[in-house]
Amino acid sequence: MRQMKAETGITITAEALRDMEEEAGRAFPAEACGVLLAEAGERRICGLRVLENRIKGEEAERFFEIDPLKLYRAEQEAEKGQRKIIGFFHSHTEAEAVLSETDESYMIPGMLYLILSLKERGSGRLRAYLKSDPGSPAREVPVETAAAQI
Amino acid sequence: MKIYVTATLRNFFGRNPLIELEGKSIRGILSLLTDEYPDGKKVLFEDNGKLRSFVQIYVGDENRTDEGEWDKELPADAELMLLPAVAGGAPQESIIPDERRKAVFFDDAEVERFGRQLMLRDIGVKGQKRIKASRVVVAGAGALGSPVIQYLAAAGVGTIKAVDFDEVRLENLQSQVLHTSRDLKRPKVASAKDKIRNLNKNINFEAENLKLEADNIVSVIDGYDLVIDCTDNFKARYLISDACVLCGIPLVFGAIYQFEGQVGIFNLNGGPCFRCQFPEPPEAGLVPSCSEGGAISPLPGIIGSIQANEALKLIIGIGEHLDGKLLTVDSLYLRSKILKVKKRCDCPVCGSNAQITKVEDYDYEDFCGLKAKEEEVPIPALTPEELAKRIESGDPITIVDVREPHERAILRFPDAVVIPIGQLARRKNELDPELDTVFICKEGKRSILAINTLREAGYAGPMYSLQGGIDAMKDIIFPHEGAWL
Repeated sequence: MRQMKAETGITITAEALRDMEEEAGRAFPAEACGVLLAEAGERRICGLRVLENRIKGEEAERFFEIDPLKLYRAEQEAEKGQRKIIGFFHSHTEAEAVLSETDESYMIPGMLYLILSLKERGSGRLRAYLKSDPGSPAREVPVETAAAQI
Repeated sequence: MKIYVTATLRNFFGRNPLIELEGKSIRGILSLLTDEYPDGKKVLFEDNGKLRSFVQIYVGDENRTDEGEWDKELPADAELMLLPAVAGGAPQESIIPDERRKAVFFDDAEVERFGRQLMLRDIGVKGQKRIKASRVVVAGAGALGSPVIQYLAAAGVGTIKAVDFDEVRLENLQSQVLHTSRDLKRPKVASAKDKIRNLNKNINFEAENLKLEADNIVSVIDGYDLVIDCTDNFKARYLISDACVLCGIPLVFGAIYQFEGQVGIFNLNGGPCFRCQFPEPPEAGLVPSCSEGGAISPLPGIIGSIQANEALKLIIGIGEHLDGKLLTVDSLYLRSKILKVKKRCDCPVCGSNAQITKVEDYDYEDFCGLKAKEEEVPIPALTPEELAKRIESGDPITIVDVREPHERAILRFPDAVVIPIGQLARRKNELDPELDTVFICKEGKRSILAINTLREAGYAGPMYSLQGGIDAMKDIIFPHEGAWL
């Protein structure tokens, strides 16, 4: 796992972003979640793996949780495909794309956390956060969308 | 024993996916593992030794994260897995908890009544349920309270408590649009209750005909979601803000003066409080209240409507609001700006070392300079009756009117010398120290300031303040004099 650098932003491919938006729309009103994948040695988000939000019912409208064993399997598969998990995404259905207290308390240092808000429009709907050390606070990382691949 | 480390944490374990260690229990293995990888210890455990919330421990398919499992002996061929817990949640943006929202239902009439709000994407059924579930205290049923109470009720706030000790007077009708001439001399909260019952009888309207004081405020606001400050004086503002901090209730503040107004949100989620922005009140008498300084009719309508709008946004949980900000509006030149309010770490009520822990123990009268200080010589005063008697008996006295020219144009005081406060010290020689000098103003506050100013300037003659000002005197002599416009 490569440590993210805060100074530089993160790029997401248009396809990965579209997949994320589709999944967030499909899961609505529950929160969607999954892992962010990058090619080995790169820090561009080139794909997603949607994982099940194991919180059910109305609670899922404000919370998400991924089964650690399913993550383990996703991790194994990614490695087989020469890809790496560089972070996680989830959607906020009613709130802005900002970290909640719960989000921050569960942040794994060095992992990128992408939040897609269904409430906001425009570039503010997608925000990324990173915590570099276990003790330090999370900070926002700029996100850019790469042009669609032809 | 083999330990699998998730790729998401591998950086802290020398990038090894699989580590082999001799150990018989989870606790033993974790201890050996963290000895070997000090970075790993920091990422797995908090400073107090607790496992961090994003770490999950599995043995095969079984979750063994709970510390009660850590001392059990593991089979030699078991594989321990350190996996990530990936979880989170959306921030709670509304001040109304979900359980309360879910307990609310609408009938057909309500669906029709609130249709215009229900159709807004950002409000919808959920937002309208939050509005109905909310419980709001409005402190003051006067100029600002009028629009606040009416709009909150119209929007569907389920419980509104209005607190005011005053009665409706003729001069209130210019800006307090909740009251009418039929309500003169009635308690303002009783008048408010009637209007709200006419608007929507399903609203639980609690009328408290009461002056907020340190010994009653907590019982008035405790258990409510939001307090809206629509009062007109600094003592009430500090009292309300402090009580909100101590009860953990957010506050929507509003104030007006002549052509200008302010709105701010204080004490939201540990944000700054009113004292952070205004650590001390202005000197007593320096900034006149609305009743003394005046205000243009629609100004409380503008400021109160913004307060009601901010309150609804907090209740629904939408938009950007004035949390930690102060909006100032100048209605004369149509200018507005938003100032940032910083939380003061030395704030005596919300700072890290707060000294005010109970409002009952704090002297608000003294803080706002409303108490005669012991070391100060008290200001002698004449009641309107006493002054009238002395004027009638033809006693040689000097009467000094310290009001502004536009105030004198409304009501002239016969045979008074006119000296504005700012010129008193300079013009003290115009006064005869052998005679009693009576200072008059509108409400009897500036006359005290005038006497203090002259005392400081070294004037030694006998001075009196007209108690209650010309407002208290006008029924006594002026109707006969024809001094009104």
